[in-house]
Amino acid sequence: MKLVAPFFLILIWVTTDPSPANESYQTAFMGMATAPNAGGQTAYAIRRGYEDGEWAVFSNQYLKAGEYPLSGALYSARYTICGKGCPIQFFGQAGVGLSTAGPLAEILWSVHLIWLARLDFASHFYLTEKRVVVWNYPFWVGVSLPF
Amino acid sequence: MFVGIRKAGLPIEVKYLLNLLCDYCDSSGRGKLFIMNIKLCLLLIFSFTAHRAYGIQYGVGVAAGLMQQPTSNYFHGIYGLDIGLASNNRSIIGKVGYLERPTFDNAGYEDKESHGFFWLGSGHQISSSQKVLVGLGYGSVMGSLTDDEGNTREFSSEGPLAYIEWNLWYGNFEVGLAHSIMTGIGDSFQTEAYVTWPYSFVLLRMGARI
Repeated sequence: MKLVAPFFLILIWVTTDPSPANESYQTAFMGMATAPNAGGQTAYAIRRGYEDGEWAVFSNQYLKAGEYPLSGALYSARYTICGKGCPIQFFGQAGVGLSTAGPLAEILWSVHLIWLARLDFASHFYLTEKRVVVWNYPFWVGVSLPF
Repeated sequence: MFVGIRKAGLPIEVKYLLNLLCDYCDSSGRGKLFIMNIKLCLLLIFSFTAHRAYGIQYGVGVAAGLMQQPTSNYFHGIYGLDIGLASNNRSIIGKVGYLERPTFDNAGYEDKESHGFFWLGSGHQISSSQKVLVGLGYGSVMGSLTDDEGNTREFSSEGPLAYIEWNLWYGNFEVGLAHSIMTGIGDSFQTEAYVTWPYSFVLLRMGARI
């Protein structure tokens, strides 16, 4: 029972809307994505989402822009397919931001599993000096916490 | 099914014609296969004429754009079509589609790729004539590579597909700018090494729906 009690407390916490403004925030920590190369890609991101949008910062350790890992910050508008009442939540997002490679646009689909695990499919379009570079993050996995 | 057609909320003229046809089918006695074909035909007629009563939309579209290969990161021109069903306000949408790129012949090799997909999702109203359509589904990319001696190697990759479209419409016609990503999943050896094959698509789409 002692072992089970914290689990139920967490379950109650994550299924209860914690915001007094009746706005459900989610904070996600992303860590790893697959890629068309062995070993995938280590790509960190912190994403702060709510009903209509999401702010994010990210750093891709696999890609370099100059000497340093490609990093950036962006804002995405969020289109909810199934929201906070669903055990499997699904969002589509479109956003813009800035990165060390130049301005970027992001298209992202996010699946939140039982309010904790998060699985993203994302495409980033980087406007570099000479051309548009597209880089994909298939199966970008992380955790999503409801605060 | 015949009873269903007779009771459906159709215009009186359509009901009359369908009744005549049903009576003919019932009494013709031309065998099961014939009746089955007639039933199928009627089901299609019923489906297309009753869509307003049941809040269903049918859509068809053509699309052209770019496909990015995961290995080379090259962009290729691509074109195709899609058909779909949706609830009347497009809060629920399902689509099936096919895209292909023209055969590319260079340096002694000829290659071609095609892409089939389906997705289910929903539409989000932005304004009175704009929506964002978002969906999740499954797709496949199939390709072939032929050398000058006629040796052909075929390959395919399939996996989950995610789709988003900014959609603008006027009456029954619509235009959309779409992006999708299909993540091809390889064998277990590749999966254990975190390898997948993301194909991404940027498409300009034009269509019509009733």
